Amino acid sequence: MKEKGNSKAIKWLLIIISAVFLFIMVIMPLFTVISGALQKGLGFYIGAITDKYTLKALILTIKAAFASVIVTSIFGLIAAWAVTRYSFPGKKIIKSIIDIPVTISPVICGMIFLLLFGRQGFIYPLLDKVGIDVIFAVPGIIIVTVFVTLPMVFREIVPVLEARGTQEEEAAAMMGADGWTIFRRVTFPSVKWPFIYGIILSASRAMGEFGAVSVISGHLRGLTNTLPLHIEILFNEFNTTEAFAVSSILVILSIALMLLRLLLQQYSSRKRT
Amino acid sequence: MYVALDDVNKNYGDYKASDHVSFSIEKGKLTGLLGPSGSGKTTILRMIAGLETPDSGTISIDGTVVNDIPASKRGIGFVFQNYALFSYMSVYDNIAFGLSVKKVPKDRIKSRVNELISLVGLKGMENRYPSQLSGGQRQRVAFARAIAPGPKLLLLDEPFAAIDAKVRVELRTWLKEMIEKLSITSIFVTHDQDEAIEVADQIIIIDHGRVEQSGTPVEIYQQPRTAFTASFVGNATVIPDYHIFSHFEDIHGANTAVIRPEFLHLTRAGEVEQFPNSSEVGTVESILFRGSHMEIKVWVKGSLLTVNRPIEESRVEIGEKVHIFIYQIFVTTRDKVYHLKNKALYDDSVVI
Repeated sequence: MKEKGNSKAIKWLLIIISAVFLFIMVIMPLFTVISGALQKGLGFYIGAITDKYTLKALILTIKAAFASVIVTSIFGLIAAWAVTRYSFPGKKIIKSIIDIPVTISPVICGMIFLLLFGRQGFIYPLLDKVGIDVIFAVPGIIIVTVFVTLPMVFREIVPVLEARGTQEEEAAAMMGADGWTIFRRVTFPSVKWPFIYGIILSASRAMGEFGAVSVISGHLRGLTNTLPLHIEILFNEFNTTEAFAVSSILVILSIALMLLRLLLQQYSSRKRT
Repeated sequence: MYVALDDVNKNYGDYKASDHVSFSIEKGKLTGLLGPSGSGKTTILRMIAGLETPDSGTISIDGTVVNDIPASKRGIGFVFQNYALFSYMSVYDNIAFGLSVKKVPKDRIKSRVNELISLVGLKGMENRYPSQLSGGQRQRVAFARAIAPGPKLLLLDEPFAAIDAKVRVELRTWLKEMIEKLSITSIFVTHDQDEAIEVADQIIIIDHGRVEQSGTPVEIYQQPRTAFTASFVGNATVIPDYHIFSHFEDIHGANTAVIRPEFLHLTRAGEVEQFPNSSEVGTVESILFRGSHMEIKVWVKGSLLTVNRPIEESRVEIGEKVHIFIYQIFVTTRDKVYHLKNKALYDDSVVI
């Protein structure tokens, strides 16, 4: 009986510690963002979030996130398929290289691309000839965003494909199915949910990316500012309320993605059982 | 010959998975590829299926060389070891897959799938997913799925390995009946000799990528032709030098012998013995209750022999001195097996 009482106390202790931490570290800051955003009234808030530069930053952020989602999902599927379904020399190296974008600091990512595409970079003469601006321009922002989110979908799919092995695909092939049919009807259904999850992860990551984008964008208001950069500028200009108001957009977007993920997860688990 | 392999070789690096494999299988027969794990039997099955490519040699099915025909065009049904059911499809969709890939009209798929579902006894489970089925039910689905498109040849990789012992025996009988009913030429791979002996019409013994022996279960069991077959089939004990038992003919250059429990008879002191002068004396090491009989291990002249004793007879004790009469042994050289009978059985002077 004593042991049972003990374990009950431990259970509640652990729950309370987690709850307090969550409250201090997550709920309170979120609340601060919302209350900070509304401290000068709803009218000011709406004004701040419909500001011309804010909207431009929002559009650029969504563009970059969209591009990175497209690239990471296509790349993720192809690379995951290649790595789990074929054996070739250098496979292990590829699997480690794919992790680099998540393991190195985003600021360094930004600098790498700055050096690569900048005036000293060896690609610059080529780009200059064609007339494409990468550095301090939208393409650069999209490139670094893609870079930092690159492994997201891949990382979600690979463990599932590895765990499942190739037998179901062989079985389908034995029955005369072609590659596309096998992918569509056998392989993809098994990675569908990790795939969607990876997309949501990379979208959230892309929208919040600051370091790499900050280095490469040049902070041109209305041109190369994404939401996180815009927030920083507002904050540095002591427009705290506006900074909070714009932040609330990102917070709302993140929460929306999180809810979407939760909803999908529930839907998928209901369908499986 | 319906399926024929002619001098097939397959290497994985230095490892010889198939070493000059040649055999043939008659139409309508159920053949078992029997061998220890790692013997290369699954590789042979996968090459017939087209999932692996031989380095050299030809594989022909129904008179056509299929080496260059891809797996999907060979018209073979394959049951995988872990069934490889499509986990995201219902039982119905699993069985229908092969037909839908072939663009068979929906109503014909429906009637065929329903026919198969009742054939394998899974009525009412059409909408279940593989994760909701027992091992035996999964195997039935895998079987139905493999035969749905009407293959000419059915291949099964360790079809019973993933099923618990009780259901396994039941499924063996079921599978044999099904295959006979459909009269479809079938090859299955197994490491379990009981399974092969019970189910197969023909057994091909594989070891180290080589065909050791091919024949009916009775031939394989009673007339092993290689040392490997003699020691692999049956509950065999290998004796390094059979000359320690003096009542057998001397084969020049041969030392190793294989002794099975059914070659031996155990007599306790005081029991009537047919050949007392030709018996060996042994000490009981262990006694194992096997349900229908006792499995007794006895030290005889430095070899631990296994002998069965009917459960009705009096119990022996561990450490007890007993008499062991050896009726026969398989004396093996590298590539030959001599079937020797105890001299007492034909030498009048020794009989009491």
